[in-house]
Amino acid sequence: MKHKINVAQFIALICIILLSNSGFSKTTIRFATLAPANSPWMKIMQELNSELIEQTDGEVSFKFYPNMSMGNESDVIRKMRMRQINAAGFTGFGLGKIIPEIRIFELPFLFESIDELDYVMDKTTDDFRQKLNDKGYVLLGWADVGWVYFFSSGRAIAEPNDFTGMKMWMWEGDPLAEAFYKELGKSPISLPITDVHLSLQTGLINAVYCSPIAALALQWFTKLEYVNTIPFTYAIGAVLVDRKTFNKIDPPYQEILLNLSTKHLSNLQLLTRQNGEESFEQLLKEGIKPILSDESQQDQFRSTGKNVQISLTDELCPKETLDDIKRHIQQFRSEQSDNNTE
Amino acid sequence: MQHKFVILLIVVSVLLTNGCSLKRDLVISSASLMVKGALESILAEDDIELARTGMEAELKLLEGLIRLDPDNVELLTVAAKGFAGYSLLFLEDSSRTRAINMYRRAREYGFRAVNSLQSEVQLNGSSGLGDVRLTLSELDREEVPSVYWTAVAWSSLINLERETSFNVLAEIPRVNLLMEWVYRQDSTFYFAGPMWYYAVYYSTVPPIAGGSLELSQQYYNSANGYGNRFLFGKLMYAKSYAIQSLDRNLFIKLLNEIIDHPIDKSDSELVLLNTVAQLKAKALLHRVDYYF
Repeated sequence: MKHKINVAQFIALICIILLSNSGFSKTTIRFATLAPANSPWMKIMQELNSELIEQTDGEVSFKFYPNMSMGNESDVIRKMRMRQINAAGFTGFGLGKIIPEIRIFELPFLFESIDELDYVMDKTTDDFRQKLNDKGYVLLGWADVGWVYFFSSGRAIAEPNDFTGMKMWMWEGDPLAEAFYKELGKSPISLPITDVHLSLQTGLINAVYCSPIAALALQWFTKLEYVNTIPFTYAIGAVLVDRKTFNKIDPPYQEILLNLSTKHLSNLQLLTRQNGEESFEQLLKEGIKPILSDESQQDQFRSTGKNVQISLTDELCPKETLDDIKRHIQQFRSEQSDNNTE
Repeated sequence: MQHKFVILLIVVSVLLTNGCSLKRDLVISSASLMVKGALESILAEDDIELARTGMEAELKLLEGLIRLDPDNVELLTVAAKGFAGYSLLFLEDSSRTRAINMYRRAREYGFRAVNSLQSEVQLNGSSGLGDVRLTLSELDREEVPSVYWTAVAWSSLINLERETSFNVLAEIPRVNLLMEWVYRQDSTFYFAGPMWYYAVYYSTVPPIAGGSLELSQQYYNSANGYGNRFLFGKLMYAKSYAIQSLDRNLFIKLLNEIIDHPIDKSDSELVLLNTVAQLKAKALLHRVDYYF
């Protein structure tokens, strides 16, 4: 017996075929991060995920791999290329492996305040978003690490000369730190970040640079005695999702993901900044002694920073990009100056 | 239960107001024995609801006795253990805020117990590492229970509070000092509790902060050798090591081992703990896709 289908059935069949070929299926975004599980960072990411699941009716969700369980940032980038991981939270170190010029934000003594940084970020985010996109990543939002300070034990660091004789750590493969030490004429001890804790314990190194939150969260503070109170750079961070994964998400859900990420990662920025200050105070309570450089010592640090900016131009960041950033900084400072005059 | 509590307190109060110090000590000692006996019977209970309500009443009774004898190290230590256990068994998964409060209360009783044992410094939540070291230098092996339950309550508190604060992480080295001391005195105390602590600690802390899956596994092997009846240890190891090492099969295997472990009613101190551990293992098994 022959089956006959009527017009309505035919249209329904076509619709089913079209829908099934739309290419948008349930997406689980596998997300890796160095951040510890059960930390304020992960709490915010969990909140983002809950709202994402709710607003996409469970069609898009995150699966988290905190605590560095997917390896260090270089491992994570490799795993993202192999599609084992679809998204990650990166520090400037990892971001620099994707687009080196993004480290421009971390040039020593480039920014004098968070407001200044925010102003420049606001002006340049679209450019960096495009550059990341060209490399196959979608920027979900910035997730800064915070102001970075020099910590040491055995001896305080008040001026660049104090690095002499110190067993200073350098994050292995970090061109920015390498240029900084080169400018100082010092030979740091290059180690992956995973080895720092043990190396502080064994005395292989006795000085590090990190944010106050990192010093606490990574338990490095237990082996450190001094902190120079001048932050020498601001460490950025960002959450990226692999573009191919992103494109597989139904466009309305992509928008939801972007909006929710903006909302929650802004909260994360605020939290990190607030916690950064609190953590600095906590470190002092833990007995770490603050070292105040005088004006002349500060100038020596700034001068080193400026030389690093020059030495890294073209190597790390094109001159036009740096000029562009500096133009925005000048713009901000003159606006501030005008506001103060008024 | 409420009745018993009120009557006991009235009897104790009347006897104390009318009695000499010898009689007072005798009364408190008898009441303490009753409470400790009751708590022991609760630990031997496999009906979770009955155990929960019983534990709540006994803990309040215990607090009443501590008011009457504030420096009684034994009572203070039982209170530290009792409130930490109550929070772990009944609150952590359902009421985080209450769990934090109860762990904090347990830690305070622990501090009081430790402080009653030595006069050098008064240990508290903001004591520096130097004070913790000084305190421990005054103690000997007999004081292991007080130090151990203080460390358990404190580490559990940090574990919950670290979700909202980075500063609480500064307290980890103090807890580690306490637990290291217990480990040196008696690493097999409370079903090899110090070994279980390190098995979980080294896989909870990220490698970047000194965590080590290798060390975690070594401590697990030692702990399991001594205290494999202690299913809560295995449960916490599954939640830490198996998840951190992304080992789905191990996670399932460990949880199934917990679920399949026969509850031995004669192992009275572990009946309630193991029954709850089995329930939590079943709940975790349902969430396996969430973790892996």
